[in-house]
Amino acid sequence: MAIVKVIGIAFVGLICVGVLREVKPSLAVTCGIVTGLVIIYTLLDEFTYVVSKFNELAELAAIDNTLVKTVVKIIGIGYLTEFSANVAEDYGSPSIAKKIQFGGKICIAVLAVPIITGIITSIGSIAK
Amino acid sequence: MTGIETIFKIAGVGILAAVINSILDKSDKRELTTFVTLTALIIVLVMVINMLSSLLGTVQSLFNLYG
Repeated sequence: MAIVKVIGIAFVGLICVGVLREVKPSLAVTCGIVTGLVIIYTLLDEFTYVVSKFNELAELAAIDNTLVKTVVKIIGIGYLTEFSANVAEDYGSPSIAKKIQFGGKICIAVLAVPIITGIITSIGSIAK
Repeated sequence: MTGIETIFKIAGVGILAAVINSILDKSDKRELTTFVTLTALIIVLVMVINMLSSLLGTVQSLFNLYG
């Protein structure tokens, strides 16, 4: 199972961070980030599997393609901002992490506007 | 370059730098320790940057987040 691999890598990374914290504190944080990267790499093919299945389902349900594309984009942006916010917190600066999350919210809002206008216009046309 | 060996490489660089620093301390060359620490940090950061750029590239292509 993939989760066992993830847990194994996480423990290896924890031990390395622990060792490095006594020996060389500046490298300990970098080692933590690399552990996160390695975990994501092991899960990459599951990730692509989920996204491709999501797209197939959307085509099956004949949903408008732009809608699905923006939803997938929003998921991607959410994931990227969450990853970099955690990295920023690891490096001990929560304020920068909050700025990153704020920027992510703005980008998602920008992407969400056409969907909202679409919904409102369709509701308006139904109400007439 | 994307497996666990990267974690061990970073741990190795860290421990090596610490050992070299302690040797330099013993032989009264304290001014060199800062350079050793700096080079260790740079080596590790270059490794991390390579991994990070490939990860962000894959995520961008996966969620087609261009532009």
